[in-house]
Amino acid sequence: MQNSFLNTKKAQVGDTMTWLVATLIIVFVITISVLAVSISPKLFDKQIYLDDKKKDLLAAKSISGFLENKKNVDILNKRDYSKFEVEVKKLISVMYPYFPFTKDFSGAWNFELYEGEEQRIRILTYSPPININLEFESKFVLENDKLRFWAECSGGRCK
Amino acid sequence: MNKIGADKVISVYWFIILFLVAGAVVYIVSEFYGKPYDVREVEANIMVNQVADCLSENGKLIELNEEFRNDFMKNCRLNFKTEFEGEGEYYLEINFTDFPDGKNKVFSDIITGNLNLKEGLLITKDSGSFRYSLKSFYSLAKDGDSEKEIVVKILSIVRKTEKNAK
Repeated sequence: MQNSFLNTKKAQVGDTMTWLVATLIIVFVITISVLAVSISPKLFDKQIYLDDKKKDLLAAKSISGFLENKKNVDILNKRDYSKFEVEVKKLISVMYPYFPFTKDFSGAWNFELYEGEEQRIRILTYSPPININLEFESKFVLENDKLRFWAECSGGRCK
Repeated sequence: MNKIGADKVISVYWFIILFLVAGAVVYIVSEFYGKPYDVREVEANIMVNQVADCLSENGKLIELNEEFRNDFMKNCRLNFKTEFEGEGEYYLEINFTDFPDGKNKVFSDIITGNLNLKEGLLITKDSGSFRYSLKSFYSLAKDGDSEKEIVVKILSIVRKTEKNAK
């Protein structure tokens, strides 16, 4: 009876089976991880974007040049808002033909004009989704007029 | 029959598994952190901003005479020299066209750097071998006694693949 008891190897087989299954699981998980790192460069794309930009230099230059133009100031002084709106739309169309800054984000420039507290012009070239951030805002005050340019972008942030 | 031998065999096997997992973790970490950060697009944008700042003051274009064009790099504080001798890592092109159509040239272009990069861009726009920034802005240029509205378009391309991509 002692011999038959000692000849049983079920406990050893139990240990081995546990390790076999554990090995298979470990190898599977490691393989997935290594493949993910090796084959998917986009997952680990380390391209840097400047997320914390508050102003856009080229936009500011465009807008200040636009307002330096006596022709545009005269239109504004004559309160010809429809003509001014046409000129602003032309400006927006050339400010960034390849907006946004990267291929992964889309957006556009918008404009508002207030005479005192009354809104005279509102140009929205981008349909904003809910909870969008207003980026690169520039405000100008010309006597009683307030002009506001800003960008709106999909993907949460303009870059 | 005792099981001491079986425990010793399993211990060796345990260490094999341990080293396998450790090796995989080291490989994954080194693969991720071994990749350099790609700052070329930021660099291209900074170059565009630098050039725009150089060309335009208070919304008006500076005078683009022969002297300015000949010393353009020095006047705009640009330096295309890198550690890679012989190969140009940068390309810069500035166009001056009429507003708003942009069809007619107002002044001659300013082009500097490695021309091959532009040809490469035209062929493979999304290639990882370089990054580019293409932007334009509105400005006023002197036209005799009056001022002309122009669009300044700036294209900057940065190669530097060895330092930014793997």
